Amino acid sequence: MPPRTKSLRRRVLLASIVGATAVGRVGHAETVTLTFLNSQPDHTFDAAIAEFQTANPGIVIQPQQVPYAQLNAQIQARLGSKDPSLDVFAVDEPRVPTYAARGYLADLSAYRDATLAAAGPGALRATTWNGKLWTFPLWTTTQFLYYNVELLKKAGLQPPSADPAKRMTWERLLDQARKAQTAGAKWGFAFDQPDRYYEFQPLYESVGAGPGLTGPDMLTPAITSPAWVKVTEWFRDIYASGLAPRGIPYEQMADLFASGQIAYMVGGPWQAAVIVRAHLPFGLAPEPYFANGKPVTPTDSWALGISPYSQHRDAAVKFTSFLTLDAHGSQLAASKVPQIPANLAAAQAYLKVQSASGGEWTAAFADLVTYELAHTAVSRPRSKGYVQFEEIMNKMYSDIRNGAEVAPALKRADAQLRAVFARIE
Amino acid sequence: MSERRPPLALFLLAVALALSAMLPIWWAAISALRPSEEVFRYLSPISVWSLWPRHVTLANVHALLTGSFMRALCNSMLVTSLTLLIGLPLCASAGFAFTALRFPGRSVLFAIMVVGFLVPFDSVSLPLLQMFQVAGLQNSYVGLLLPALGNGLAMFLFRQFFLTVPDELREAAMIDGLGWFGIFVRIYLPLSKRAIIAAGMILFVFQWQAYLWPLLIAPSPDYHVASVAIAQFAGQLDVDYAQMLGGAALAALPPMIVLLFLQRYFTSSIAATGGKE
Amino acid sequence: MPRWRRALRRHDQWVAAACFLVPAMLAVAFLRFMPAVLAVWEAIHVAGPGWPISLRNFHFLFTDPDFIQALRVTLLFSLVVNPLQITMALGLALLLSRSLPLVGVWRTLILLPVAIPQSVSAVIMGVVFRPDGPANAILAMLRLPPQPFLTSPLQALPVIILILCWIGVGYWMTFLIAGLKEIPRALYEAAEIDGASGWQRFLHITLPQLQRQLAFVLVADTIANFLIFAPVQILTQGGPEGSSNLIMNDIYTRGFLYGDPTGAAAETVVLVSVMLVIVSIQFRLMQGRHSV
Repeated sequence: MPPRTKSLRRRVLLASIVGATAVGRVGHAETVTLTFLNSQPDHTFDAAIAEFQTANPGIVIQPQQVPYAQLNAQIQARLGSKDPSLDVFAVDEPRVPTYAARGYLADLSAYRDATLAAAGPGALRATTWNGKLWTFPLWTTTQFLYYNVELLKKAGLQPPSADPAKRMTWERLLDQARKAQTAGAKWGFAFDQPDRYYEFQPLYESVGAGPGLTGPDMLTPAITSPAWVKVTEWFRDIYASGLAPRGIPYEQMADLFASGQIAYMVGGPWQAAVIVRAHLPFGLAPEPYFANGKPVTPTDSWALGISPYSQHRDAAVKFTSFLTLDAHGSQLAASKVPQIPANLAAAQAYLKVQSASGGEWTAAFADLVTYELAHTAVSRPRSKGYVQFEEIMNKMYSDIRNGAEVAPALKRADAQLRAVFARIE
Repeated sequence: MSERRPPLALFLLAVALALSAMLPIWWAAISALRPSEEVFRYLSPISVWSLWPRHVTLANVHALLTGSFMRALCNSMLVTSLTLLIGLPLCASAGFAFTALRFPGRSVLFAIMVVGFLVPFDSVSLPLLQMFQVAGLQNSYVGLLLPALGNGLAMFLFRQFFLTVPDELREAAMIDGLGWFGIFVRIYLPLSKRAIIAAGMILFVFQWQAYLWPLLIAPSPDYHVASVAIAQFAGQLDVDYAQMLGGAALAALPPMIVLLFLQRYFTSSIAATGGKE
Repeated sequence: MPRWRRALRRHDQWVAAACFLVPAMLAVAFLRFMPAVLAVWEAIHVAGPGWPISLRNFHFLFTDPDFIQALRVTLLFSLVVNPLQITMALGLALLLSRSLPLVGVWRTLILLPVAIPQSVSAVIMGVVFRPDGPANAILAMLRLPPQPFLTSPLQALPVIILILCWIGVGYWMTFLIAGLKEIPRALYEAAEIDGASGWQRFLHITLPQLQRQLAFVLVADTIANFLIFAPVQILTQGGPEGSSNLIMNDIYTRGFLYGDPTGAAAETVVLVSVMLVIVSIQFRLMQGRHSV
């Protein structure tokens, strides 16, 4: 054991070391490290981060990736415990009210006008709650009707027009889908996200049945009305009649279409790249609507939020606004993912590229997206309890798709929603 | 069991069972060699192409081997090895204390330990996370390592095993003047090769399979472990199945090699354990 | 032995016990007990005026039909999966404890599924049981009708049990092989000389000699199966219609998805209590012949 003598020389040495590191620390006080939590594949934001770091030499970005299914849990765990090591994180736009109510987001209302100018009123609505801006909009979404050219030809069906003015009704679409199935297609029709509320909200909105939540706080379930029952029965029948496949999870659905087994599919614009890669001739058309109803498409996607416990708010704002409000940064941020930038200028460039990507198959891409976002897009309900709502509804759709009776399933979901909402403070 | 050569039928049965258990993993492994569009192509009807890639491509394997997955695999191997190196002595010592030593409160402490490992780890991961955050252990190997060390099941197993060591051996050693540590290291441990391997397996599986905890404590890509990296291939909008399945098969390789190597210790029969006969 | 020596000896054992136990006890204390106590506190603590302890969370749980169903499903599941897995493990152990050629390879292959992260095993088996997947393809080859498997409220839980058997049987088999190898051959030889049949040897030698290992495997397997949630969460999310909603999945859903940590904490307390009761019953039953 070394002797415990603290000689004067030793004390001076220690003091000088401490002093030197203190000086060193002051010298490096400029460098700020921001952690950026998201659920995209590795290297998604590398280009945007590199550019930002070059332009801002005092700021270093540290991306932290977790799988999508775990992001909500991560955010809750870290922000719930006021973890100061989290600065910037990705937020699914429908969850903004929940997170804002729980105090997970810093108030960004000072940038309201800049956001409106860069991304438009729809994006602003999606990132605002209770009159305050909580996140910067990163990307947006819509839905297309994909059709398999060969399968339609085999059934002697006229391909649907890409012109929104000539949009098909659901009734007509299912009729054609059945004909295609009789003529040899394995499945006549499919939703690409068959167990997600995102996909079905437009159906209810189209006939005016409402999104399923009502009341001043949007915390009262409204899913047992006759209109809701009718639409849900319609949905159940698509699977019960064998027109659409059961048991295929969302992640494997695009592959089913790309391998030529489905005649018509309603799906997100990001599926186009998958189908192009598989060299399957296909076409795009606008999402159908119910006759006597109005055309509605779902929308909203990711946004970026800043933790109120972050110690580097200014740097965080700089970074997030670069990725969202700056056209060039926004373009870089979308360069590796098949997502439409919320930034209007970046979106234009992106859509042009997408339209060209698949030749005549994807020619209608840009026009369809622009039209739907401007005229038919409806956001998900703004509610503190949206996260729970979505979870319960998703499970319900899964059950109904597997054959559960509609009225009891709706009643059960209604009871579950009321119980879960009662737990919200 | 008898010395006679076992009948051919049993051998064939063993092979058949082993191969069918292995089939899904084999399918996952060759999925990495397929182009992404073909991963689910040959599921039904079952053909030779279900179990062999029709068109071989090395692109996915290349991406796996040169991407961040390899780092995650190394992280897993490092953390798991450390878990075994530190956790095995820790659990063995506890098992020894509960068996060979007599002290008041022994059964109470043992009961407390048993109850301790009944607590589902995933349920306490949130409060544990808060504790670790306060201690500054986020994104560190120590943070990944610690919760797996005190494994009540392994302690329980060691105790079970140590109970079979006859008292005479211990008494003899004490008369010979060995201290408790000596008794532990020179008498109990050498007799417990199988227990060590079994407990090693418990700790190994716990740490290799760990998913929720590594995700919470180490979200930084540098500290990702294999199970997290594999789940990363499942994006929100599309899943890279070829890489995910290939990654899973790759992640099964190190355990497979280690287990094959350890089989030798299982086959040695126990000829003499002192007072067994 | 003189009294002072006896006293010294006891003190000696105390000190030794402390040295051997301290690291382990610290680990269990800090890494399991403390967070568990925090979790229990969350379950019974109520902020605001009035009595700070309340059973309100438990009241909510026991009036929640989803929780009651989860409890029911889990108990039913436990009654089926444990005997099934242990029987299969025992059968495999009996087969693979013999000196067959390359037996180490066969053991390793059967053990291998447990080395794959549960999330991926779930995906792989989910593909196997897809309505258009290999399982139905095999049924078609055998001229049997295709089954809905995970999309049916009646078949979902049995399929999950099957998947868990694939994953875990090799693991338990390994423990039992270790136990089988401990049984002295002389016992079997003596029984053979006495004219005992294979079945009698199994009943009267193998089983009693394996009792300690079987007890261990039973307790450990029961505990492990109470904590299953990854395959459920990934494949069925507890459905269809809650038929596969094992309690750990319900806790995960409540805590991580619904953002109701106090409800999840209360549910965890219930789960641990149930496990304690069942494990002590198992201990009591096993107490019969040897001390466990």
